[in-house]
Amino acid sequence: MNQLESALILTLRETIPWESALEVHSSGTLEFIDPVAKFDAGKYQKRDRQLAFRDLINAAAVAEVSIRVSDVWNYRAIQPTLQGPVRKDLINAGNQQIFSGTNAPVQHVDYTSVPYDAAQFTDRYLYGRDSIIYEALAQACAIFADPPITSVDTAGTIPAVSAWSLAEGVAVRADINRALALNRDLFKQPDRNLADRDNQMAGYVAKMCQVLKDPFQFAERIYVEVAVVDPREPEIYTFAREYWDSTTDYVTGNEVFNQIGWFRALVDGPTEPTPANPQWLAIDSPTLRQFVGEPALNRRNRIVYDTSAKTLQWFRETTSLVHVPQIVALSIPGIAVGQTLDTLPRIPEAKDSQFWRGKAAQIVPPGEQLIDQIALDFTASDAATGGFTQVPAASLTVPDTIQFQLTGALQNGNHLVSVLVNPSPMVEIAGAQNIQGTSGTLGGATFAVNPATVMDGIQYLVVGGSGVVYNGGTVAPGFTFTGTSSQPNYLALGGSDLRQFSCAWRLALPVGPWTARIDYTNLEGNTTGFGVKATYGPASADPVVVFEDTVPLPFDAEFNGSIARSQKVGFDVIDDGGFLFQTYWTYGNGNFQIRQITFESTAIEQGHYAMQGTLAGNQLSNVDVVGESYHPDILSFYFSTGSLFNPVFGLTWGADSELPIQFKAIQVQTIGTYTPTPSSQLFQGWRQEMTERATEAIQDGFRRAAIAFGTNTPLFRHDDGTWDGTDTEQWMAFIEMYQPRLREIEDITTGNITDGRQYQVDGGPIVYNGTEYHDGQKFYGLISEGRDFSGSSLNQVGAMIKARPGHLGKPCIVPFGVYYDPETQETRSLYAGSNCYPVVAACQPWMIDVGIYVYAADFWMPENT
Amino acid sequence: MPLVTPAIFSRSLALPIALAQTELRRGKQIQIMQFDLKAGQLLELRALNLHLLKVLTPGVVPVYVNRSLGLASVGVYEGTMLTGAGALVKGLQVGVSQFNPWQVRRFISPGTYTVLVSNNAQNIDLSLAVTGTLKVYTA
Repeated sequence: MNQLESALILTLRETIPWESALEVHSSGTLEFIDPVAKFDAGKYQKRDRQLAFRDLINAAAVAEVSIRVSDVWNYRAIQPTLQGPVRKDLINAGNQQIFSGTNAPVQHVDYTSVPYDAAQFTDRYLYGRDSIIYEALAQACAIFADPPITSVDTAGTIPAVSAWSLAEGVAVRADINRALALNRDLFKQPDRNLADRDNQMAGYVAKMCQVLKDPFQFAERIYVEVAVVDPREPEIYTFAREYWDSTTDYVTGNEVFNQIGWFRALVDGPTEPTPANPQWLAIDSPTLRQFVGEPALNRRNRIVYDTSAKTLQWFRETTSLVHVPQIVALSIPGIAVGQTLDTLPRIPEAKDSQFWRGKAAQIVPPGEQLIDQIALDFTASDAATGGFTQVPAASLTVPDTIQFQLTGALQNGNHLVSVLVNPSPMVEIAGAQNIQGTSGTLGGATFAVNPATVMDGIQYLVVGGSGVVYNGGTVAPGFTFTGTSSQPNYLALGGSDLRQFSCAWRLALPVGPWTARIDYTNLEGNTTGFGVKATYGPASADPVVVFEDTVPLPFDAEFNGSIARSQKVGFDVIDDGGFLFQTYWTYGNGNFQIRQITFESTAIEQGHYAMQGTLAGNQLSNVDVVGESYHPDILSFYFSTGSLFNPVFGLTWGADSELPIQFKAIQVQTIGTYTPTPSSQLFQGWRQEMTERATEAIQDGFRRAAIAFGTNTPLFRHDDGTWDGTDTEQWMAFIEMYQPRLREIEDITTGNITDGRQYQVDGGPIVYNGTEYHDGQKFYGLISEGRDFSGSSLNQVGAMIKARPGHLGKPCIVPFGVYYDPETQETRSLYAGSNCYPVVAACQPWMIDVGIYVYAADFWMPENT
Repeated sequence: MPLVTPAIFSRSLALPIALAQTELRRGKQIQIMQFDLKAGQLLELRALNLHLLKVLTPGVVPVYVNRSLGLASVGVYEGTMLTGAGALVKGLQVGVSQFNPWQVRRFISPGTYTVLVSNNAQNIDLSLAVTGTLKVYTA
């Protein structure tokens, strides 16, 4: 009410003519007239022209609001044509206006008036009418979060009007002219013209208020968000016509659109609607306005506005629960208790990949479903039993058995266990993997110097001085002894030092030529090198010297702790039954540490793997495959099990002893069946379409970041052209500059909340910047609110997840030009910087190895049909 | 997608995946085709069908060589392991199994891609056929 309703019936003209309008003073004050000064018609003329300018401002305001309505609701609202540029902001001076009654009248001059009456009364009434018109429009615009125009009623005195006075308005081209006779009409005619201009503007504003009051009546598009319960991000619903379909049986009251307009059926089973067909009644617009969202499922995913009952009703993609029609409003209750449907009066934003993830999830296709369950992302840990734990991963170097303790629960059913493997003729053993239990910094084996006590089974060398008393005897300098647990103590005589003399590793390798290389360092004191001797000792033969100590391993680094590397020394492995690699520190000062020993063969290019997998010890699955050196690949095992908790996954490699293999990561997935969305047969490509849209959003983010960084865009790849996991993380973080909801990362720790990223609570409540959030709730990190939070688990929200072995073949986002090079046997990138454009591709094993991200499961489709 | 102009059309190539009815012995594989993808090229799979026509050793309970791959399988490989297919169609019984035609599998990294069909049982011989198409797009 009080939105100039009676002005709705006025016939509007398209153009608001300029008609000599003059810009008003910046204070909003009209030309001042001194009543005691000599009469100057020019001043009165100027005031009228300034009033005419205020009409133009109102027209500009209507145009501005009309543009906003068009942008938000895609509805082409009425818009007056302006004859020149005018600002839309009305500067209102309270002392220039008069209001009287409730209908915005004008007190025109009469035959008994003096000229000053026009300034004192009539002009002020006209000024007030402009204010009323502008204020009515500004009040209606309050539904926008950032209104195009704002209220000018600072004093709260501008009345709201329903019945608009025409104020004797007539479109006459009249102006106060010095040459004309000084009579009533000299002032009244121009004022009547101004009143007519006001009437036109009142009519425009009245119509605009109608649209703003009930946008659903006019909108071609609405932007709707589901909030609080089962929230959904804002999305567009588009007004859709119900076209006449010859195969449909219509009944009385059905409304359809056919060719030229809308029709309402007057009988049951009518024929094609035409203006001449008496079975149909031509109508201006339908009673039910339907707004359809994506995917446009039959009779679903729509919001229906009943123009007669003034209600809104929502139909989701499933109709198991019905939405009760609600009285029309911008915010209405949804289906679930506490849920709201909010129609947002703003222009839809560009959508990111996380939004398209949510849309993809709305259509569930029929077919086989893979559900991620348990994962072991790093196998070089206590989770592996058996085999040889190398630096990068647990491994089998020869046919043997290895077991992995997995953490998690599985329900009974069919499961797929996928293992990321790297067949590798390079075996890297950490120094601390020795059989004596000799440990040291960063996983190395530090040869003890002057230990507090001797250790059982370790061989020691006496260096210098007068010898060492141990176990009832004296060991002379240059001689060795082996410690026993019954005699942990010793006594050094005359300045003798006691050093650990040897350390051994037990290993098995396939038969053939191998090389060994030692990575070592000095941890304390000064030294120029270490005398090191190493032997290869198979069980079936005498030890063979691999490293001679004739020439010491040099250590000429600038500081202790830096790694030096020996030459590769060749030797032949004569059987795959295992051997002892014994090393001896024979001479040299300092404190010797072996960080790593690397065994390598260049003769092996392929290996045959006949393996048997077990899950929880009592299920078997076989693989029989051929692997290529340094080429990451996937082994997969199929099991049917009952319910399991923390199962053990075992691998037994039966044949052939050719090429060692690393097990880099393991994933268990349950094989299920999708519960498809009912009646969605025409939308089976929906998830593929959403993948394409998400890819475009990611590509747009990369482009914007590359433009912003310019020549400072990171290269991403290494200087030698190789690409690894750190490069992938850097590349993804670069895209996240403009696509903050890109990666889904679990278990975010306090101190790592990042501005612009979205987070979701997993489990108990967390507190961020004084606000408590509960399970499932989401919030955005803000730079002003810090990076810390307290409480339980928090996940970063994003459309992409880190690729795991079970994600083979799934769509992933990969830098253009990154590939696996079989010649150099490593992952490389052809391009750098802004040329590393993100593209979608099928996930391959080497991509998983370098930490590529795949699209989340909501995007996945069954592989086979 | 842009319009199919003569210039664009000339830069796309359809590679047939075709294996006529073949007797595939137990535990054996057949390489149907191989393609070297160069930098700037895109390989796209939309259609791949495995026709398991007949079990030539009826009445035998299958003993699987690669249990996760079903009785027979056809896949697109960039590596050598049969369980490492970038796209895979599994046949569990006589009939037709097809790659989901609603999804697209893209291979964009340079390398050699192989289409391989395998008999994953060590005690059953099969008669099968394979059809499909790979499309190659060049920038």
